[in-house]
Amino acid sequence: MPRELITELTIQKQWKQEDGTPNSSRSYDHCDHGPGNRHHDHDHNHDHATSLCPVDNLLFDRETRGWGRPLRVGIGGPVGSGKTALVASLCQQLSSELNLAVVTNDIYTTEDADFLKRAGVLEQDRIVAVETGCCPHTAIRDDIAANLEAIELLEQRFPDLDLVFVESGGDNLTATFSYGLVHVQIFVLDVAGGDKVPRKGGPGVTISDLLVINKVDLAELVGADLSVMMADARSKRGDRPVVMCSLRSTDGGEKVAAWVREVLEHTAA
Amino acid sequence: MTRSAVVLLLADGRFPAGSHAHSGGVEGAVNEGTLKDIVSLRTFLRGRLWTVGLVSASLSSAAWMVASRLAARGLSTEEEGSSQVSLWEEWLLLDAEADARISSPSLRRTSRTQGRQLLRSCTIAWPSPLFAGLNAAILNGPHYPVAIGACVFVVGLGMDDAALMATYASVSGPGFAALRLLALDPAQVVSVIAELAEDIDRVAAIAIDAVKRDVDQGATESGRWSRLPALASPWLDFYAEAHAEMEVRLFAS
Repeated sequence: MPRELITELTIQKQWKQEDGTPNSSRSYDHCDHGPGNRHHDHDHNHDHATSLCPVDNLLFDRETRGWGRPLRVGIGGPVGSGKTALVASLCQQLSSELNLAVVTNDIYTTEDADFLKRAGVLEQDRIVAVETGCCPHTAIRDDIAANLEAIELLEQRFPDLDLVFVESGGDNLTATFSYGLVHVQIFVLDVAGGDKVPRKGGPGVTISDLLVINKVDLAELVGADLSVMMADARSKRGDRPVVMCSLRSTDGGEKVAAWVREVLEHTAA
Repeated sequence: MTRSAVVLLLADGRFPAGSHAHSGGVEGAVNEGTLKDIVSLRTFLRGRLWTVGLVSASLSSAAWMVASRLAARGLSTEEEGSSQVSLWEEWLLLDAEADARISSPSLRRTSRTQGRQLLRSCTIAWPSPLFAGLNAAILNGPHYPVAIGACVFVVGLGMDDAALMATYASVSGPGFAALRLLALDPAQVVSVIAELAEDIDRVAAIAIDAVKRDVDQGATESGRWSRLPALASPWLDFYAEAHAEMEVRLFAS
């Protein structure tokens, strides 16, 4: 059986378990239907023409976040959860329509650079690495000077930038971006990290504007219950959206890219 | 010394000026194997204090002096163009002296980066035409000690505060960087800096004397500040250049 089909079936199974739980069907509207799921047989109501991840539900504060261009999107999460893979996927999907750049706070090796380059369409001079002095959370939250400088450098190089992704170094659940640095932030968890993680909460899970739960294709292998993860995430996050995906699948990052497009639309001058 | 909470605020390691990501040569020295424990850290910091620390404190005290002179002359933005140029020249002269005292190209870049980042936060917290003038004079950012002196003046502190802040910063940041890189005992790192406290004060006093002597002797405009201490620390220059070539760096310098 092809792996994609397994994923699809796994996720559909999870849906069925969730039937009847208040709000649960809605939560799955906004998340992964499994790669290649073109004709799902579940019977909850949702309109596929409308947004996958309603931006209206974000607790946007137009006054204090000072929307401008380029839109600055923070991408944080624990080590190995898929931050770089998400950045690569987003660049691949968005670079043909948007003028974009990346600031990375991760320990940045030529291997990472090559990964982003191979992922395509992002030239080296659109990626700036920031050293964090062994404290990745300090650089994105308490003392954002170096990251602000990196963004300004990219703005000078590319005056018409639409979008800058700021990738944090791998840190723990308490690491969040200062809203002095980014306009919105995405927090990336992965299924292999254990299905208890959303329940632990912490600012990354609770206040991020989008929570991405990656590697759903591994759920069965690591004994993780996706419905538990989703329910916990929702109880911690209220209305804020959650996306489940597998970034290794071909269309894994589509939902996240759709969300980014919506934020851009929503905040257009 | 000024008794003010502002001293504590500016000198606080959590003040957002990017310094947490700079090791002052510690990462380079650790990588070369010359800095490996609390004993070698003590030697490293003492050497850094009496070279980089003294030069930096002299420059920051001089910057405080320049700022106070400019403030006395009035910083109104309606000034004539010619007078504006001379305001810039005051900063440029001092900044050039800083340039001349930092041999390593990557350390010169680092110094300007830290200067810019300190000004960034100070400009927001204490808006002043003096900052605008300094930024206009030195487009890619003043050297770190120059920025320290200007900030200390703008927030209303004295020249000795400027000297002390520069000397203290010359060892505190590197000390805590070593703690992270070598997994040292934090209490031992604090002990090493505490042992150096007397030296830190002494270096600051020497720097202030040097600046006052330069002013008292009425150096001409063009020769001003050229007699400030100019000690070299070639190993730090070497570490900085090697560090800039490292593939994986945890610290920016």
